[in-house]
Amino acid sequence: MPTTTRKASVLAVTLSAVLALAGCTDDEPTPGAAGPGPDSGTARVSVTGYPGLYYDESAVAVLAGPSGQVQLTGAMACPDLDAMLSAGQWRTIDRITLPAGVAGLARLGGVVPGLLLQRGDGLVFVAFEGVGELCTGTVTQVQRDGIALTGPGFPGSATGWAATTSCIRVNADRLNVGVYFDTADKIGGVVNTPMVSQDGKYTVDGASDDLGLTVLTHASHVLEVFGQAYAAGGAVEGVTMRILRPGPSFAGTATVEAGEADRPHGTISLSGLADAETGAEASVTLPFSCPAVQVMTTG
Amino acid sequence: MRHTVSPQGRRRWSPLVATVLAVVLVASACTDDNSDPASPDQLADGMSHVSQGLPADPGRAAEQLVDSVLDDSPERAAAAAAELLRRSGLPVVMATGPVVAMPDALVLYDSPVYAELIPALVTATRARDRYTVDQVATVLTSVGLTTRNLTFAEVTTALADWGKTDGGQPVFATAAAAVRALSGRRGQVLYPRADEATTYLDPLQTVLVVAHATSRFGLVTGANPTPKALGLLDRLVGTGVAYAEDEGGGPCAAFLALFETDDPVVKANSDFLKDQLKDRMAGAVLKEGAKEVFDKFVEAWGKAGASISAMMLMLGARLQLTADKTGTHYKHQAGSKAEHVTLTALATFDIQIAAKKLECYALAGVSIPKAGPLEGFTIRWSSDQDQRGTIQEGGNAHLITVSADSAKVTHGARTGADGKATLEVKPPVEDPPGAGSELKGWATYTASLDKENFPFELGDIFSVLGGPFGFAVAKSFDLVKDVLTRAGLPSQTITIAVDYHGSDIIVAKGHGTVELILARIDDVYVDLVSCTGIAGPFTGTGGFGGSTTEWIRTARLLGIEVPDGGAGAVAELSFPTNPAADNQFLIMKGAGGKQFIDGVLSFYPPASTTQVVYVKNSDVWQVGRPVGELEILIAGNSNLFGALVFPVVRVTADPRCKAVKYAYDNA
Repeated sequence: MPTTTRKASVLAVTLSAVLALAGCTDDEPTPGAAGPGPDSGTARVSVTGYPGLYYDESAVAVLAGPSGQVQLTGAMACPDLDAMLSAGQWRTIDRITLPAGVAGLARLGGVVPGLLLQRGDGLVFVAFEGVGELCTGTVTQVQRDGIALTGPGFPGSATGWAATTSCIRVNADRLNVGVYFDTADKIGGVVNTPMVSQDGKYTVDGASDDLGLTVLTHASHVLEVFGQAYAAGGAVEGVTMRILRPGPSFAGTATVEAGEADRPHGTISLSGLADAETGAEASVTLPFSCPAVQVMTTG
Repeated sequence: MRHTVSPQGRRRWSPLVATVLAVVLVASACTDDNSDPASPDQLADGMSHVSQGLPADPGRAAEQLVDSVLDDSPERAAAAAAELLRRSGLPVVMATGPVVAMPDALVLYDSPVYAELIPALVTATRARDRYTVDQVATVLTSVGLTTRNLTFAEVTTALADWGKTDGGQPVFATAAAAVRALSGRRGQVLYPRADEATTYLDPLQTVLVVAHATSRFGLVTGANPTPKALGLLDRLVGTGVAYAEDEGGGPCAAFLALFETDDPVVKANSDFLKDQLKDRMAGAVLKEGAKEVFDKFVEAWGKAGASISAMMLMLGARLQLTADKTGTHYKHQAGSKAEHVTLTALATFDIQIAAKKLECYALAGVSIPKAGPLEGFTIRWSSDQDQRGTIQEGGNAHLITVSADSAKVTHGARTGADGKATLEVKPPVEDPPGAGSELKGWATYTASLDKENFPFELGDIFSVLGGPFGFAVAKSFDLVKDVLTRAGLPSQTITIAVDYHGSDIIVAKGHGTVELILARIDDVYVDLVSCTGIAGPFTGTGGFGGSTTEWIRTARLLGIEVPDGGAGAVAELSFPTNPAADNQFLIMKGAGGKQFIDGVLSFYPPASTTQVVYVKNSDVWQVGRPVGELEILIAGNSNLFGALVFPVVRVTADPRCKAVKYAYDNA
């Protein structure tokens, strides 16, 4: 029976400038702007590193982490934090909401509520987590390269995006990584990959129940339809859902590139996957990047 | 698509705009007033300069123009505002007729903006004049766009996604980005849950929103305007209520030659105007099943110009709000007046405009009022203060009005011959004085001109024109009067810092049930308070409830050694904290001294604000400011689902902290 350890400190977040001061002054005196109350400055309040991703006084903490990651904690429910962040200059490309009460268990499978936001060439994923009665939104840059899906009906090497949604270290030798992805061919999904470390190399534990890959062929937005499918407990109209499981020739590796131990990143390669319904074989290659790792220890 | 607009900034000026500018230069050369610091020719030249180096992306260009409007010299700021309006689809025109600048492609032909009024618009925007969202909604109702005022949530929902559509019109992207950026510069975000009391629209935002919500669209053509001598027939040609077909080809008609309204592309392609603000607003309303709100929206056609022009003209009514001190402290001695603050509102009509009368467009026939102090006008006062708590005799405000001025709050204050009205406010007296930490609060005062008063009689500014145009003038008059009397004038605020002594109370409290997949642990809790800020010491209790039997069963599953003894256990806690680090503290050990229940207190970095919010903690709402997190650990581990993480909140009162009493004196 596992117990869990949630280590906020693992994030090793660093203090950043909470306010991105624009250093501006008005020519006319603005006596009304003085003082510490609301409307007290002329700063544009954007998330550091993400101009135009605005927040207001409801955000009680904004912490910059490694790899461009930023955590915002708001004294509000997660749907409200979602509304605030999507009301800035960034455009909402996709959004996944989950039914109330399932967020905890879903997170273990790499499924988290979140937003995909775009501005120009920038594309970020914001993962939401209710923390007590606060909500924390974690902003991370998505990865654009190294996505490939092969097999019948799959596009092969594809342009798209991949967002790492969860990284959970179980004891010292196992790392579970959850990734959302989508391609220009409208084939995307979610993968949860249990990796086992031995002698510095990672293999994917094909026998683990934690391994899961759901692929959706859709016509709109993969996160939106995946959220609908998750809520409905099955496929939704207009969406083809395929569950891929390790087949007889399954092989899975994870290349974890050199870097700080608590921020693994690299490539997940899964071959010999079999469609649970048709038996057709498929392979998937996805990049991942963990700006933070939660730690779970078995009791 | 023939009228797909090239990215703005790729070319600074289209040949058409250059032609128009040339016309303006010729026209302005005929005037004898070169003293106006923001004359139209300078404005046009400034627009060219501020356009240089702007990003190609309309939204990013709009953000830079907003920065220029707020930060640059008044002349450059006016040019930036004019360019921002132009890129947002609003033509910039002179009161005498010539067109200063046209948009690149799509034009909001109901909303030409008088170049002469742009400096006033900039001044008021920089001075943080404000319209509440409800005031703007009232304008939209007044012009007939809606049959009831849109709610704060409906307006902000519409604005949140506006102008972000792929392939949308650059004028939408520009206007929308500008509206959001102007709020962003104030640290505000326009979204449904934003604080309605403090989240507002400035005059520039209001012009953009009203214009885009109510204007019709045309396509800019290549025709060259040819100004001719101004005749009576020209006066009412233009847009607005008094829209009329041009037959004379005079200066007022030049604008009409620059766009067409029945372009087949517009008619044939329903996507051409997708993402327009009116549709966004209708969509926001539709979510609430109230489609009928927009059933009569065609009534708004043609009224945008008169509405926004009248509002811009009224921005000449300046309210300057000052205080004899920017901050004060609670009194240490009753009767002292040194801590009193006197607020002064100066009301003037001060619009820098060369024209004596608006000859063309929506306010044709309007005379510009004489500049000077506004005597005998009523100033309305109101205040918004952070929550002080409820331990104060006579209320919980940091500042209240002295008794001699109390009627000014209830009935308003009349301005004197110098245009000034004052309000004296005072803080309470501490008892005991100077005890405890020095705490910081604030009080914001808002002054507005009474909506029943205007800086001039509306009837006086509309010249009496006879003949066939009398009806049109009357319609304009009625519209402007209705809009202004219902929406009122923008207000001004000032914030006073208020320091005081008392307890700096931090409460770290929470309880919960540990839900694991196969096990359940009943109530574990921590209840801590510091009366001296986040450095502590924190004192209180922690432990668990529930039956021992239940604990033993679940503890075996978890491998936890629970303490021996009866049902539940409680521990007295007291420990200092380091605000810069995680502070793990022991709550209680299990059997054999093994790790059982611990807690971690961590604090957020110091924030720039102390503004309170409503915080829900264990089903109880608190008013305070979250300053950190409390986490309860079981056997050294915590819950992956975050079920045992709670906000640490700075509050204003807690029975465990010694209360400093505050009471107002009679001074």
